[in-house]
Amino acid sequence: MQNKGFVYVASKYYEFIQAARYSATSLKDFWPDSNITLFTHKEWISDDDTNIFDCIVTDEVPNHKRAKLWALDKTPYELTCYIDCDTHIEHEDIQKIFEQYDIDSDITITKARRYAASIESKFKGGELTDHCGLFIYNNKLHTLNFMKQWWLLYCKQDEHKWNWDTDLYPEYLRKWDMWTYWWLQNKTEHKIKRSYFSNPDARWNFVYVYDKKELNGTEAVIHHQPVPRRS
Amino acid sequence: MDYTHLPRKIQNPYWGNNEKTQVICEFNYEGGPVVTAAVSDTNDGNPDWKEIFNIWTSEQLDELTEKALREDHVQSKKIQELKKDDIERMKVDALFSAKLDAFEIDEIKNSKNRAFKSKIRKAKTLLEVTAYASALIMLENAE
Repeated sequence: MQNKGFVYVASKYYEFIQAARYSATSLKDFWPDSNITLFTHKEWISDDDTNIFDCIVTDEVPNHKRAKLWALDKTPYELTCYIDCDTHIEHEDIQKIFEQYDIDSDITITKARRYAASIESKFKGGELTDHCGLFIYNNKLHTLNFMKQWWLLYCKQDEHKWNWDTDLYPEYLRKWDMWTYWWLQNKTEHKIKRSYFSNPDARWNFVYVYDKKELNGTEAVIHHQPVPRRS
Repeated sequence: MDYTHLPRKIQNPYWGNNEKTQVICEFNYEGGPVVTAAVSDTNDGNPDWKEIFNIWTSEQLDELTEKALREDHVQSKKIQELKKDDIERMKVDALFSAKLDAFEIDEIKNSKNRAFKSKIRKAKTLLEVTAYASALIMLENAE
């Protein structure tokens, strides 16, 4: 098992494998020795992909919009940086990303911005505070179990097999994996210890609608922008 | 279904013109539909008009009209913002698609020229993407 590496997951829409290549190429540009694992579908793999990705996993990868959650507990690394496909690397400080991980925690994550969220992140029962598009996590058993529970609960959520008090937690949360994460972290025994990227954390996950002021005069390392779907 | 015989309430009235000779309101039929109506007085005296002024004064209708205009203004502003957001999103999507397409080209994908590849990724317009992509392809082919 290698120590540290990045995990990309591309499933359901072909645009995601294109985006994963785009992002991973930028990662290799700024950190040629980085370890990258891709979870995707066999039929989407091209010959060149082995030049970008060090490890490609296709066995049993579900054709699912949140295959990401399925893949998380199957990381080959002791310390993993999960990164959404719809990102690219812009700065050589990417080589320092694992220094952001707080060893006293299980997961290090960036904060979500309410003003930049696709939905109202604050509701009667709480607030979605963590951005689940990029995070670093360890491979301790309880952490990997959390990732597994995240996938299992999201499936129930998506299939309407898990319902909640919509007075406290609005129904519009159903499609979001951030909601599943919030629930597991705040309402279950599966919760893991969380820490945040150091300020300005936005430079490690700069979503395209963020205010530039969030960077505090620094340069963004990772840029995050949704993949347009053509199908 | 004939609903006009059903008991009904008049609600949400406001002036329909500047001359204040017309009132727009809703007739809410019990167990039936809610119908928007324009009510004016007639020479013989329109009972609907009388009913409206039995419930509301002319001053109250002034206030309700102001409120309706304000709400309408907020609504149209929201629609304009949404349209603007849609256009902006389409532009951003087109730009990102162009970048993805550029990186599907072998000369760009396999290039070691990190600076040029970064310029393509950071491009703010389609023209910039095309220009840097073309320049990089030419550089790669010249080597």
